[in-house]
Amino acid sequence: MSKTIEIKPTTRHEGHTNLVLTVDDEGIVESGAYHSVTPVRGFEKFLCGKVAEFVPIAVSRFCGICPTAHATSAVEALERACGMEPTKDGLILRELTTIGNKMHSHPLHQFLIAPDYVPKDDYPEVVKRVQAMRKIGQYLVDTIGGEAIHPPNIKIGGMAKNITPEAKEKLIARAKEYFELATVQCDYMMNIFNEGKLNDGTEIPKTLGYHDFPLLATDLTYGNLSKFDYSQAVEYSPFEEYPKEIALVACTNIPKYKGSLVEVGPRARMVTFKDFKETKGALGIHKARALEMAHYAERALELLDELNTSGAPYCTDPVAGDGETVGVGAIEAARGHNVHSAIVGRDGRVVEYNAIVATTWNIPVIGRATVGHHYKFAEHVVRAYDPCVSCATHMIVKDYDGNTVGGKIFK
Amino acid sequence: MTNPIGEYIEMISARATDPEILKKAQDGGIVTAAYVYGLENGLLDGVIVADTAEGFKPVPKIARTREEVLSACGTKYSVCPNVSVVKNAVKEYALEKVGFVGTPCQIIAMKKMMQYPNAFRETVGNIGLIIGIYCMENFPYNGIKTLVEEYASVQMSDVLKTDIGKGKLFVYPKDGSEAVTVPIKETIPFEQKSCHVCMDYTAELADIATGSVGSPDGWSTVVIRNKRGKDFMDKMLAAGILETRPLDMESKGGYPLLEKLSDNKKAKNAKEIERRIEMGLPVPY
Repeated sequence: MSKTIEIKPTTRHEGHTNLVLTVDDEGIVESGAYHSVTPVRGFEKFLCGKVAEFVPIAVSRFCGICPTAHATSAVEALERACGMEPTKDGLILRELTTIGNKMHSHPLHQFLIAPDYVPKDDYPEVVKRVQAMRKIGQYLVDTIGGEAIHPPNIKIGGMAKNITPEAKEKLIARAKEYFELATVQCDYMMNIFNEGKLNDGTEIPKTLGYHDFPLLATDLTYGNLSKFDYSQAVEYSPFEEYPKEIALVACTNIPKYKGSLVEVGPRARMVTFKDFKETKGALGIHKARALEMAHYAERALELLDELNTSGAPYCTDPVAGDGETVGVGAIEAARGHNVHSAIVGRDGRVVEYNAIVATTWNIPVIGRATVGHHYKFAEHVVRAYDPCVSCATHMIVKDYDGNTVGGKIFK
Repeated sequence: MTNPIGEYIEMISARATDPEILKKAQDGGIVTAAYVYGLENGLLDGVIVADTAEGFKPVPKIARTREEVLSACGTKYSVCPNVSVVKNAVKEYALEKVGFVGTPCQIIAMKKMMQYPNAFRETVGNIGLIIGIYCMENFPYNGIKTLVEEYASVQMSDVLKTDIGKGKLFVYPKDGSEAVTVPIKETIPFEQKSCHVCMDYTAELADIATGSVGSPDGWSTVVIRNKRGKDFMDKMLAAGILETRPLDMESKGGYPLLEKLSDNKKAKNAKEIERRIEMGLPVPY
């Protein structure tokens, strides 16, 4: 006789989500439904008719953790819709900003999982290291992007400002410091993950979080549209994935790529670009994330070396589209493949806008990945994906009286 | 009753010992000397100065070397939006100890920014020193342009330096000829309206405030207001950057003049504020 277990809300990640599991008599999960209950905010709707320059400013407000990824995806999409070519140094600065953002977001996740994995005695040391790393990541975004949270310098055509040679030297010094911290942190976390135990001694099943869905990533650090075919990405309604009673409250679309659910994120990137062997499992994601941190610092150093501080940060082409061309921007955010698409009219205003963000891809996969193990491990599967839900929310939700929540936005 | 020139720890008369600074700077060269000393000794890593663009128009600039500071020294008598580049100094210049100089209203803005750092989270922690300069009133660029070009008959592009003192506006042309003067009375219509509701003459919220009033020609009166200002000043004095003399507290041209001017400004502007309140116009206080 199966019964239902509900975790409401799931904790230690961004946004509001529920996990509904059906389990058998022994507590083994038979089916899992992980779904967002963060109310819809209607960004894609209210952006229509606004001037294109406003879009990166608006979409960076999707979230305070990865505003950079959204703003960058947006400007990439808008540039393609307008047929603009950003400047070389603008692109370098932009990639540096997105890397800085990931350099802060990845350690933040290790802080969130620390109560699960890190022994109590090591806790202060790990948290201090994590904070030191986050500070450097945010410093990068702050210096290049103009603000650590919601960086205003990301603009269509490149970046609003270049940095001074002195600032570049400082960033190089910080990136080197980050590399050392990341190496120590990575070794420490890898030992824990290789042991495969929680800090209370519970052994994590080797096959926890296994699933057979393909992985999707376009680049290790930035994003490469040539590796992604937007016409193959289709969004379905939640009824496609969830039982009716859950689909009614779920706030995300179900995107499929080439007809299948896909996993995005650190493991997808590491498997695709770095010959990472562990292609499955919750611990695999943790390991990939730990390994990625040092790669970011390395890439940041490469980019800083390449950067010409007196180069033009942005191109001055007019921001106007043809009202038909769909521009797509695909960026690897901290949590994975993040796609924005836009059509811009001849008057420079947005005609249509859509975002399929990283966690939207992962949400249906997370529920499926909990199947086959005891339900007490389910939250560890959820946390491994580091879901960040407020940006993923898309569907209209009705309240108990049948009224549309936030209906005013759509009128 | 509160002190007419605000809270302070110490007041002195001082001037820079460096002849190059003295030659180029306005009076005692205190701001320039402090900036150069700070930059050369690691107390500051960048300073915001009012540089001169074409046509004697002041523009804010971030200076990081002695040469850059020296090329910008001297009072401009026109509005220079120094606060507008504070954020740039901390962001794309990645400076950590920024020196700031400004008129009392700009110092008030800086202090407000530091008290309520909503949009300046990372910025306010990186301010190293705030120097205020005495200010009775200021002119918008077009105001000073009219005065210089119409009243003093000197083209703006030919101006070397301007100065106000002894009831006159002095305009020094670049060709080295004698200064042309305009009586202060004639300049009044060209003042900024906002200056008429300002209740701060001596930059009461700065770390250090300085200006010529109260000291003999070529010297500046330095008001050290807080610990940060005192520490900085002590280091400068120990390094022999400034020569000092006690401030003249007795004679008419000494401290009493500073106090009198400050009182006058406050009394005059308090009346203007009252008048504006009566008329239902907005006032900043």
